[in-house]
Amino acid sequence: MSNSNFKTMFVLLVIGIISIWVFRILTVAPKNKETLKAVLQAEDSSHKQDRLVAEKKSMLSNKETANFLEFSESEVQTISELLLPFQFHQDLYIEVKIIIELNRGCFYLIKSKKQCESIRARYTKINGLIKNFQDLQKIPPSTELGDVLKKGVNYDPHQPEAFRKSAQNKITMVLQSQNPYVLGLEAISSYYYHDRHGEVLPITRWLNSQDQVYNSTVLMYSLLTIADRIEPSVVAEPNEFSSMLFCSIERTICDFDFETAYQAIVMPGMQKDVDLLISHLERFAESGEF
Amino acid sequence: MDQKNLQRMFFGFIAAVVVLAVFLLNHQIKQKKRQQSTGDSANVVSYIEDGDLGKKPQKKPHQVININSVKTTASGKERITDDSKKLSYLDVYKQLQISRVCQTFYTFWRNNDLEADVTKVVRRPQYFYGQQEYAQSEQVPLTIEQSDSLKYWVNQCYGLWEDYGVFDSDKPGSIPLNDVIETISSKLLSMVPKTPKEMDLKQTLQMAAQWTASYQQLESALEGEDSLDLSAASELYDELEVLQGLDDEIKAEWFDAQSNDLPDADALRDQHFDLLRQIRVLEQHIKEQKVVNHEKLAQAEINFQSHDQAMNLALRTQDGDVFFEIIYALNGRQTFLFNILGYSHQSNHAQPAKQYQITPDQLVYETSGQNSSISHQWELRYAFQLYLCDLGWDCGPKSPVIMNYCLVGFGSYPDACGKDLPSFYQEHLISPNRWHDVLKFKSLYKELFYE
Repeated sequence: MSNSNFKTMFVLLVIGIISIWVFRILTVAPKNKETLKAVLQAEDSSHKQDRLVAEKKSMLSNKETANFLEFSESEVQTISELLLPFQFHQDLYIEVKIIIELNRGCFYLIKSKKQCESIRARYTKINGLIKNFQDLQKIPPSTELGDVLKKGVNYDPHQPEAFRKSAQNKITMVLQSQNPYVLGLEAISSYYYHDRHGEVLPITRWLNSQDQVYNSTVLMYSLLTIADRIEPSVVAEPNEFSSMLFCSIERTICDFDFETAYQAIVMPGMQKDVDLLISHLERFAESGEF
Repeated sequence: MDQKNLQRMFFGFIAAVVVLAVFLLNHQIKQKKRQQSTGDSANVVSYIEDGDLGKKPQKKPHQVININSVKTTASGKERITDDSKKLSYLDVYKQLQISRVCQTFYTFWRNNDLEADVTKVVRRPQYFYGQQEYAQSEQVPLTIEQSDSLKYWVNQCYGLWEDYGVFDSDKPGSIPLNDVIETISSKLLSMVPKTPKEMDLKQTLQMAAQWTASYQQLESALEGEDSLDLSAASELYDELEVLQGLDDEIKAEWFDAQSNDLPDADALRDQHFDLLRQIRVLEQHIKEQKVVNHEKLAQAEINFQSHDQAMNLALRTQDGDVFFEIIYALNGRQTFLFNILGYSHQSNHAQPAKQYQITPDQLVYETSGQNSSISHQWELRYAFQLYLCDLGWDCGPKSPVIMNYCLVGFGSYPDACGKDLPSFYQEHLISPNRWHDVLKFKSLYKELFYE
């Protein structure tokens, strides 16, 4: 190697090393707590991004599936026309849901109530298209309340808090609806399913009672009482849920209106608990606070 | 600078770069090893913020409780049985009471083994809003009070097995071959009571046994006898058995689907009710082909009514154990859960013999003027049990009824452990408003039966 070539090579090597060094200083952040946090968060963000994409894909596929399982517009139109005028709610999904529940109640509990004749007649009209719960779920809701009732409240053992929030949201919307039939539906549902996965509201604390069967019953009566205050029931009038309930408990009061049946069956102490729970529920529905 | 020096500088520089590279590489490898042990990526220097430590709740290690773990504890010295002391009639009666509620443990040991973890017997506690959540598959840790109670009862229950059990001589300390409850009952029958209370109790137990026998005779007479020939009748019974078995399976699947929010819950429910309709039709068919022997029925009616009258008269007692034994017999003696006694409209005695029976809770109801029996069943039960406590029945922290609530009832109530029954009811289970309803029924029990 000649002297000049050697010098050239040496200078080039030194310049190259210095260039690389300067380049790293300018482009790589120093490794301290803050920068490392940012890196971690960025990685979390990328994982989050992956998850969101996966969720979105899943939602799209569910939506596609849901759309695939929903009634067509013409079918929805047909069902609507068969049931007009709606008696219980403007949302077709809710209207049909209540008809199905009442029809079931008529079938299993009551054999000879007058209201059941009209309910059976309406159910028969749509029975060709809606035979079971799966068919009900094909009706697209037209309201937010309908959407919530359709989705229901699903218990995920890995996310129990989400389940309780979802149940609270549902009860809040039901209370805010001020619809006596929706309240009646929720009353019966609460009675049978309220404490299946533990309390969704702090009723034990509100009533100072650990007897959750009792608490479910008080909740049911509370919702029925609220419904009755919105639309007081008399014999052969709607709000069939309460009359069916009382009839299943005690046959001798089958033809009584809600108020009379309530006074006959519900003991004074429980009546006070019902009033107490109503005040808590109304405050919760209004403010979201316990 | 001459060429030689320049060459030396150059090669020295290269050597320094190589040494530096080796040093940096070594440092990188060390960092990578540290990162791998903490799980972070290789490009990130791992660290743990002090605040992160202790954020996750520390799970208590699960404490296994079995027979061996309680044998040497203090509760091992609390058993009634003391070899040096001859047992009185009342002592053996208390052993009978204990053995009745020990059925849960006996069943568990028979299905598992004596070394099995008895904490699995404890029912899952009721969940109250705001409490720590546990997955369904996860066992909820016992409270200290529940652990103490469980150890006490394991000792009591196993102690009775040791005292009254008949064991295979080749397998000492195993599962008894006999029914310990029956053995204790037989011993009690053979014992001579000495005190007035003991005599009263013995008389009540004998009367209760006679009442039960007369009730079963009445049931049989009311049912009648098959009019079809044997093969035709057998066919009906076999078909009924098949349908009932199928219904039991569907019901279990339905409850499971409900609990897990599965989409086929509604379909299973409909299947269950379809099967139920078929079962009812078949039961009706079986009933219609039966023929009642009216002479036999008349005799059974007279016999039963005389025993029922005697039982109702015996209810007018101030002895809690006597009152309990009468109600226990009227409820069919089928349960080891004392906390569900006091409401007999859904007892294990089948229709139609029930129409001949007027139970204490029915009398209380009629006196109260309240409508509807089903909706007040728990107020009646609580009232009945509080009345028993007033009569001196065992309602203390170590009583069988508290054990039912603390450990093995329909869900457990940890707040019951270590308390007496009235305190648990008033402070935890029953709301202040409802308490007045319960006291109303209790006052009627006193009005009707206390003399």
